[in-house]
Amino acid sequence: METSNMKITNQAKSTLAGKKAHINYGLISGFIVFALVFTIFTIKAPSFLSKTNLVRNLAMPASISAVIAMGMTIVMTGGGIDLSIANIAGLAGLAAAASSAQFDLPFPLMLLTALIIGGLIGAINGGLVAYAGISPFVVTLSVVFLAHGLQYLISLVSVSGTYLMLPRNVSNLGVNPLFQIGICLAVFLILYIFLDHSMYGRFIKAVGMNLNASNFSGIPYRFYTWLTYVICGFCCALTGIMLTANEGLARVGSGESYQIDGFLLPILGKTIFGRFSVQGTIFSALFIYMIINGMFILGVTPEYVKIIKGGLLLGIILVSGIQKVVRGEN
Amino acid sequence: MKVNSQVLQKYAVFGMLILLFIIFSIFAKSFLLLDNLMNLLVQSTILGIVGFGLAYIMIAGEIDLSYAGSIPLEGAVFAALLSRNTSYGFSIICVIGIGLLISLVVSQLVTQFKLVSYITTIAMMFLLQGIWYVLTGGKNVFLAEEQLNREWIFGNVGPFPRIVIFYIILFVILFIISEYSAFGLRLRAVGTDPESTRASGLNPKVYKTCAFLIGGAIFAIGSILTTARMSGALATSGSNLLMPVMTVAFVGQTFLGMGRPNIPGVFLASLLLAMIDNAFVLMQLPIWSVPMANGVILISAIYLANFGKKEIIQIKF
Repeated sequence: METSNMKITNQAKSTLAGKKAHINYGLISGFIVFALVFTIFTIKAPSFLSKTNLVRNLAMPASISAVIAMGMTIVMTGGGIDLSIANIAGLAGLAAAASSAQFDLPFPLMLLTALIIGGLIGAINGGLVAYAGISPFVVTLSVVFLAHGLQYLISLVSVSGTYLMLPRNVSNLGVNPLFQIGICLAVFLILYIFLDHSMYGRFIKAVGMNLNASNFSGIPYRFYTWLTYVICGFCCALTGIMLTANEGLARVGSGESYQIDGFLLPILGKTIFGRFSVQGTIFSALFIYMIINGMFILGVTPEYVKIIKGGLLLGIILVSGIQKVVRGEN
Repeated sequence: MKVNSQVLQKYAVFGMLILLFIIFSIFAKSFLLLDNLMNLLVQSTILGIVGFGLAYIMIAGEIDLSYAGSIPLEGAVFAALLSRNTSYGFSIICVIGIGLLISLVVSQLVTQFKLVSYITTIAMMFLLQGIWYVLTGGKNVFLAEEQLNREWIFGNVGPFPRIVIFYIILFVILFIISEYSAFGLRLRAVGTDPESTRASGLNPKVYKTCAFLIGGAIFAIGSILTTARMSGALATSGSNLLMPVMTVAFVGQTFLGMGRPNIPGVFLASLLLAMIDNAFVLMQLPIWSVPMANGVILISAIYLANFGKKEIIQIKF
């Protein structure tokens, strides 16, 4: 938190003095490493640079996980944490698919169902954290299991087998890169303007930096804490739809592999950009999925993905810890 | 109103325990049989033992979720060692060694680099799950009857299974250490206010490391018991424990309105959860409703315990 304060004052100073006073080494090294890895894969991995690979195997999965991670970014900016993201996504996707199969809903209504469910669960999360004063960790961990149980309940009621096939037009949409990347870009634009160029985003950052100070300056801090969880719920619901459409079927436990991305991407973005930001999250989504994609081409088996991601997460946290120690923070 | 909320805070968990016991005795057939009650105690042991480990780490003001990754990993190592006819003693020492090693890494990350323990241990959990997956190929490791003497752990001494007696002995030892020894008092001081403990001449890093090591050793014991109970190392042994153990440790905080993690609270909460688990099965409710009930109980217990104060709790990175 100190760092972002420092950064803001530094930025103010640099604009006042009209020159760049503060160099963000994290950002520069992040881009250098990105370029380096990209070059290595271009040389080493055949067909890494082909358009199909870059769009279908890299940008599409990256955009699915970026949407869920952007929701998490908003929550983390407000000083919270949400462990239930992956399960909200799974629940929203399954519920939307089940209701569309049951009542023959068109795709926009299916999307709306998912958004309502995601928003509702986000509102429950946020309400318990912001208005009842329970640790976000405990609340969202409980919601993980509630959402998981609800998924089983829905599949018991409406799905006759182990999974539910989606209509052809929806699954066609799901494998269309334009649809997936388009949603991701739309969410990115909205959240970027919301977080970095609007009053509300400034309030959320203030709440995340210092709860008491924002309370004394008259910000309704409970409402803004609540709002972060609701936005996160909407993002999760969108991911649920993107994922379900991409898989072409709705099943229990879909999206659980995106749990780790929800932590990894915002924190990597923070380490590189110096603060929680949606642009940082997008950058790290591309970065991580580039590494995984390149490793697949080089012949690493999928079993190692969890080790790679877990190790990266631990390494990134370690780097940010070293940054803290070097800067001499408490 | 004030008195009411205090009474609520103090006896919420007790009340819930007794209320659920009465409800289950009425509605669940054969819940009150001696065999079933013994079964319930056995069910509560593993939960409670892992919960003790977590409670020790929480007393020192940190948290450790890596048990969801380390328990399946240690269980797989234990099963693999036993199936290669290694002696019990050596296998147990190996597993506890692995547990201590993992905890040492986590504790050094948390204390030396000032990382947030929540997120560090989640990362550790993912990493360990990945390692488990690569080592076992995602398969369960089962043990034959002659490779693992289950009777030795689960056999009866008088009316009580041995594991329950072990659980109660462990409970008494850990209870005395945490509440009535200088070490326990210092651990609690480190947990509440590391800065003043440093000022009064204690090194918080050492005590936090100790807490993590104790926790890691207890998680390893829990992993051995889980493996013994299931006659093999199962893939789900970690994720099945994640929620109940968290619930036990957090609900335990509300015991007698203490508001801090403590061993007797964990003991009581483990009974509460085992009771729900047991009675839900007897009442033929679907198995996935048990974690849901855990979640509802966790949230409501903490809500009751928090009744007066409603400060927003933030997690900083």
